[in-house]
Amino acid sequence: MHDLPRLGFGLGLRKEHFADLLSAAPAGVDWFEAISENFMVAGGKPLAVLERVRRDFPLVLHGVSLSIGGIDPLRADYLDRLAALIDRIEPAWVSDHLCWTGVDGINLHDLLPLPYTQECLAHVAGRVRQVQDRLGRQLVLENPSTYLAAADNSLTEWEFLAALAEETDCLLLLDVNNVYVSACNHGFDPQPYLAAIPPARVVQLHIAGHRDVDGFKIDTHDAPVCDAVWALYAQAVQRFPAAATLLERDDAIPPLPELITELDQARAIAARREAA
Amino acid sequence: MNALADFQRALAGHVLTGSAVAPGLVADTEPCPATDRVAVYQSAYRLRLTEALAADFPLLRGLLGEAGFGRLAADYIAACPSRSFTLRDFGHALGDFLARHGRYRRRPWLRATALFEWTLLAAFDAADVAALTMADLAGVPPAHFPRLRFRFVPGAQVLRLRWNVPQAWRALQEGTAPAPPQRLPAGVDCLVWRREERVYFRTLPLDEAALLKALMKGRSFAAACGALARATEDPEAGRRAAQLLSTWLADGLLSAR
Repeated sequence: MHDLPRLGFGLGLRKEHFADLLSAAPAGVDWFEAISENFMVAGGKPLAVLERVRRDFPLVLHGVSLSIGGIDPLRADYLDRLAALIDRIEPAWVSDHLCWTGVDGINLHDLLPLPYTQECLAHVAGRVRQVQDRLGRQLVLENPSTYLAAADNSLTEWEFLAALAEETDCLLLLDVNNVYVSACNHGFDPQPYLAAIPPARVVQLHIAGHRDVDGFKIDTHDAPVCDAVWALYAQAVQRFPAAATLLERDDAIPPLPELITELDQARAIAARREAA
Repeated sequence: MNALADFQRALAGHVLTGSAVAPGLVADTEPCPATDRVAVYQSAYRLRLTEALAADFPLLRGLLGEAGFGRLAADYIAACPSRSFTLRDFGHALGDFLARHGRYRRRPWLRATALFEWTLLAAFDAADVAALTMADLAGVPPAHFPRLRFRFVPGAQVLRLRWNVPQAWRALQEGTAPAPPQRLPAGVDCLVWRREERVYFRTLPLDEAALLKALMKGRSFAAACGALARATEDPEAGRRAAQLLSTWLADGLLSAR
């Protein structure tokens, strides 16, 4: 299905840690994930830091603006700039989200849920093929955290993802926190979700923190991973042992050593699986 | 694709306008009704764009205060939705918006502040080029100097300011509560540029502004020296121009390309 490297345990590349990263390559981080759009700029400090980090670490590009499920045509300017960034830093893989981000030229800058229907599946599959042809590589798609579902859904999210991967030969990034958050928000059981995702397609796992707000679990990435998500992660590493793990933190960002300690928790869980 | 298109247009409409969700669009599953579900996206949209503006316009935020900046963000988000793939570009029209919108037009220092902060941002991630050095110029025969034209590093700009925004910006950097910029009756030219990874700015004396603006317009060194001489009636304009040129080389302001 793929011959991508096994990257181990990584962190998101965030500007709050730039100074630390430039002073010394940190121990305890195997790789970094960079938000593609933050580096799709002409030049300056972010790109310089990205290139310096790339000298010491494997890197993955993670996008938020591809709008793979959108009905507007795929943006050529976006894909051109993404392709240029790929050429520049040679990421291990390139991911984005199963979502749409805007319509009729207006960008809502959010990962909006798609209707899980056969019509939508055919539409997204066509666009995944277009992107894979343009970038000359398999696209990696992540399950979003969602707070609403279209009224006319005829497939579950996991059925949709598995079918999409099968149809387009794309790969998957399974966000364990998003599975948990969406399961709580929609009242489904996460077990069938994990069981339906084909292990050979999953190259990466995400773990992150969330918050309880007004009856919803919101994917805020501003807190440590909670016990329930660690428990689901333990099941995920059983099912997807080859997948790389990435700890996401986008807000209330703690010092690097604190995140590395949290990442070590993921390492310990994966090691227990191997020992067993 | 009709059902998919209808779904996306309807949901986008609710997110953009904050309107109540139409029946039949979103599943009304337990534990939350459809209205609450759409509201998560409606509030996240405004919050995300407001945070993007706050990050790019810290001085404007400091000057308006949390509530005032929140009102401005809401007005701007409603008037100028994002059409770029990146939030980096979202604030591009804020200066013009402040100049047009009745509530803000009466405080022209707001527009000046927005333009200043946007110029800093433009320099921050402008393209990287090698800076021209003294050694590069050493090989140019003196007789060629009058005809020389210079290119400036990407992101370098001269802003004409009628308000003392740079002073307010420095106050913010020093951690003091910024006061509205003071009016500068004669106006001032402010140079913004990036050297390696750091953005710099400084207000320009009259003669330097004249020389720099002429060169940035693509005039030859001789013609720009003429502009400097006219601006200052300086009989030593040539010598002053050479001095300024060497300052700019040291500042990394000129492009080697």
